Amino acid sequence: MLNDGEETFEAMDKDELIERARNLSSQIEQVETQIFELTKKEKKYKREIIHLQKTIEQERYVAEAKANHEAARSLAQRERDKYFKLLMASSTNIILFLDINGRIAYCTDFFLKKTHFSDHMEVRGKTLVEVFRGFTEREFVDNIEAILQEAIESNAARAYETSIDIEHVGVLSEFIINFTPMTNENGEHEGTLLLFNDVTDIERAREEAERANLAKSTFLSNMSHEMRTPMNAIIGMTSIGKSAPDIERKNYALGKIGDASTHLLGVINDILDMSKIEANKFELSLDTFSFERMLQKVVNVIHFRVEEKQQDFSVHIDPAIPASLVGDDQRLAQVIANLLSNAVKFTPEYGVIRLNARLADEKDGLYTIQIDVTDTGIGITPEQQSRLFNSFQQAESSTSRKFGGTGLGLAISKRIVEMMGGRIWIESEPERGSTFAFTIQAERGEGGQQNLLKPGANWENIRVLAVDDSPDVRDYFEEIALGLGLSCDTATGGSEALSFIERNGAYDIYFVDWKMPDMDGIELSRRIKSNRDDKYVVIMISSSAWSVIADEAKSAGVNKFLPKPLFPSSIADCVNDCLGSGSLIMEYGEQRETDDFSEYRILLAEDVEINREIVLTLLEPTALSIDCAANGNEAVRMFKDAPDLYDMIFMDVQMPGLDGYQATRQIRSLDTPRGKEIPIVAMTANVFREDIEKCLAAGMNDHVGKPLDFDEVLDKLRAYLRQKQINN
Amino acid sequence: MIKMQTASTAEIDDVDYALGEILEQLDLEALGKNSVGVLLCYYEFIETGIVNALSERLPFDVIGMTTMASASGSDCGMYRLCLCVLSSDDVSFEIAVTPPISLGNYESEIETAYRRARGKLPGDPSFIISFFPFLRDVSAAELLKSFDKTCGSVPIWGSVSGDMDTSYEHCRTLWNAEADIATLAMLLVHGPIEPKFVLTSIPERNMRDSSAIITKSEGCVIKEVNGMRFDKYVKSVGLVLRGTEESSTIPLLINYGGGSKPVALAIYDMRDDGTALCGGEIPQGSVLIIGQVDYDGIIETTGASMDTLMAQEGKNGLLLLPCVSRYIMLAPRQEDEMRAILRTVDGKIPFIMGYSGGEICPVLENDGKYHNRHHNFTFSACLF
Repeated sequence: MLNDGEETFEAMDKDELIERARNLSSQIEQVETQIFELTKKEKKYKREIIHLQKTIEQERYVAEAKANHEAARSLAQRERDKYFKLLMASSTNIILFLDINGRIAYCTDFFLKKTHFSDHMEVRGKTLVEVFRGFTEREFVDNIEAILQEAIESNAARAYETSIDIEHVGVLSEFIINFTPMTNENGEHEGTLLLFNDVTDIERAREEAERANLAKSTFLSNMSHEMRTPMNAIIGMTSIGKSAPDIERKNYALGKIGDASTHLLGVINDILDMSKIEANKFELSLDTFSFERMLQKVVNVIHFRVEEKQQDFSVHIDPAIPASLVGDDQRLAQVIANLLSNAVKFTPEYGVIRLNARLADEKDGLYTIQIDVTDTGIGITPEQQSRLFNSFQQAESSTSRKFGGTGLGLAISKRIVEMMGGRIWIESEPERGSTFAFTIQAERGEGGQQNLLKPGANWENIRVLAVDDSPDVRDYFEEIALGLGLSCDTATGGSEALSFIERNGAYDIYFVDWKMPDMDGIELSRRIKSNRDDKYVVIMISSSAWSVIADEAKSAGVNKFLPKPLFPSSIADCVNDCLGSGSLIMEYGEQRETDDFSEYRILLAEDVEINREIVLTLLEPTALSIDCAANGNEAVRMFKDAPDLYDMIFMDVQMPGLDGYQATRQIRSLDTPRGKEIPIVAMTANVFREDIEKCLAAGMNDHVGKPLDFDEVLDKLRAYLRQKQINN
Repeated sequence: MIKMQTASTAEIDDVDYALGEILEQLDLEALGKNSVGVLLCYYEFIETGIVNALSERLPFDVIGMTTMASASGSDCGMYRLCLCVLSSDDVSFEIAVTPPISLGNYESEIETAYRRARGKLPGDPSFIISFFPFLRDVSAAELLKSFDKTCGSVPIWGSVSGDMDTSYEHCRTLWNAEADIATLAMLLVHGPIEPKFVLTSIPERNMRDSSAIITKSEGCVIKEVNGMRFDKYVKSVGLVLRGTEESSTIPLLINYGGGSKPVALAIYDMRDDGTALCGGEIPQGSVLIIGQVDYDGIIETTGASMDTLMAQEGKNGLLLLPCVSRYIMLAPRQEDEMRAILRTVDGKIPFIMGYSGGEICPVLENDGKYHNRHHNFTFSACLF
């Protein structure tokens, strides 16, 4: 460095200048280096400041993010708390959370409600023993404590089945209590969850199912017995009949076989009906029918059993009930037959059975009809009554052993009645008899109220006297006569009847009961007939068989016999007949003419040989010519070979190879007019509606059910063979 | 076989000193037939000319990217440059770089660059190392989708270039002396090499208990979750999204199916209409879980990944590109992840590590194939 004013470059020599320059240069270099270093340091400090600033900024991000997530966690926690509270308040289960010390931390409100604690504070912090010992058995308290310990020690769930009166109302409930230890992620015990599963209903259902199962097993056992018993009779009697030396014994055996077969068929039908009900395939077949005629058919079936036990059986039909109804007459008859059959079965000899049918209500064309069957039989206790309409049960199992029966009749009847829009009930006391009553609903059928008396006569001038010691019969007569438009007097016995005649003059028609105290019907008839002209008609009425009294009655001058119970149409019929107007119904005991089908030939397609034999044998009296085919193929071939030979075909449905449906279709599709015309009637064991429709869809005209009812077979023959005659 | 050498320097300003320090750590005489360099550095290393000088000095091509912080050898930090040299006699390397790309040309430029590099190789690459630019008009997921289609789903591993902060102003991809804001650099590796890719993101305990269904989405945009507009859904779970910075700290775990773990994605942008642009494809109907990134979770997942990596037999080199969000969320102890890695590696294997602006890593699914995916919040490693 130059010193100010002391030295100048001009005063220095060359070497000095060079030296000075070198020094300056070196100093500049040092300064430059220092500047560089300082600049570097400055940059470094700047970078560190930036780093610090970035760090502060990043810390802020981290803090904000952390706070954000904390807030979210708090919210999540609050949500969890909320739903936990809702769970504990709303759950319909008894749930207890025990803490690590086995004390109740939480419980559901439902637990408090059931155990009648007023709030959580009464149970929180308490042990199970402290909570439960106040209202449960000592054994329960000891057990739950032991099981809790076991669950904790083993760190495994335990279940405890028990019955406790948890509501302390004297009723035990069945529970399965699940003890579940709760551990944290480190496997450390945190508490225990207790869940009380109320299985009372399940237990009840299980017991019900077991009872039903037992009932079904008993039923199967009974059914087995019910089916084997007649089978045993059939097999046994067949053997006896085969080896019997005389015709009388054989006939006796055949009679028993017939009875047993009928009984077996009844059992099978009951079982089939029950199966249909269980499978929801039980259907009604609606048609227009005569109510009275339906009842008459039922009465006809039951009558011989009533007569056997000499029971007093009467029927009363409300005249307000429409003569013609729309419904399933067969099923309705089944119900009535079932009730009457029970009445006859459970009423002793000489007992009384009444069937009363009345119009209970009518609304918008729908008629509610109530039918009561009342008897003076053994009666039924209320406890027995409660079980009667259940399947597979009679009043008690000893009943089925003593009186027989499947125990299905009432259950089936109930189903039928309910399907008809009605209900069925019992009024009964043990030893005092029973009334089985039911209602059905039906619309009036077409045809209207038929005038039972033939037109053309002055019925109002006809005088009728009915003599019967039974007030019910007399009242009924008056009612019927009123309905028929006849003038009718009634008398309580022979003496009163004679005094009426004395006072009022002779009557045109007398209805006289056979069995009366003092003067019986025979004596009265004799007296009426002895003093009067023969133009007066005496009709004997009785529940006994005509054959019993026929000789005596005829000799006393009785003109006709009318069996009890009485029906308006049968009374009208008698009246019509008496005055030469012809009858609407067959007289009792009258046989039909034997059918003569000698002009006809039918084709019978049936694969079972014995069935063919039965049909051939039973139709033999009709002189009907019958050709047999053993299967569908043969039937089609036989028909094809001679289509004009046959007047009708009975076609079994179930046959090997070509079945009845296919055979029918083939016949119908033949290139001959006869193939389309010939009546084909199915013989089928399947009588569901869809099976019948299947027959018709295949081209069949009609069907008969198996086992064959020969009256029905004859009806079909008459219908289709006579139809051909008419057509020709 | 690929051999790896690494070198690093913290000297930003003195080019000569930095260069000397790096070259001292490399044995350029021991290189194989084929060599390439991968460079991760703080952006100032470019401005001071060190990257340029290095690329001129090195006898092989170099690709790389800027990063917020890096580590290799025995040191780590924000202001560092880390270089790894990959060298092999039986594995070939080809580098290609696109010109600056944008929404209008990225597909064609990626294809052109790839075809150029591919044409120089005898066959398809075994895998690709790639550095993507940070673009505001095209997401990394879109770039990856295009690249995946172009290369026929060859596994692609790499990163979106990073910056010193979340402004992303100084992001650069590097190719030798070139540093560009918008170029995509790719290194095709061909030969008998089967790298192992390791990925972890959020530990399970940091995932919310309840999941949700993405009921409406389009591309990388979530529109509705559980039938609710996205912002409303997030609010309903108690989270607040005040701005992009705050929303970007919330990882969304998307289950793509296929048997792989959920992929973590960041919310890049909360839009005014309540929808969110995310860091990857959001398939409609996929399951969404909201997670949390925290110190313990980062250290735990890094530790688990490093243990997995160090347990592998026959390892020669390790490249690590964890997400920059992890660095940020470790504050004030941002370097703890890197230090944990250094402790674990402890000189046993050469490695370099840099913080990624968006992780590109294939995911192995039930079909036995790798599916290229973009991730966020993820620790991504490539081991060979």
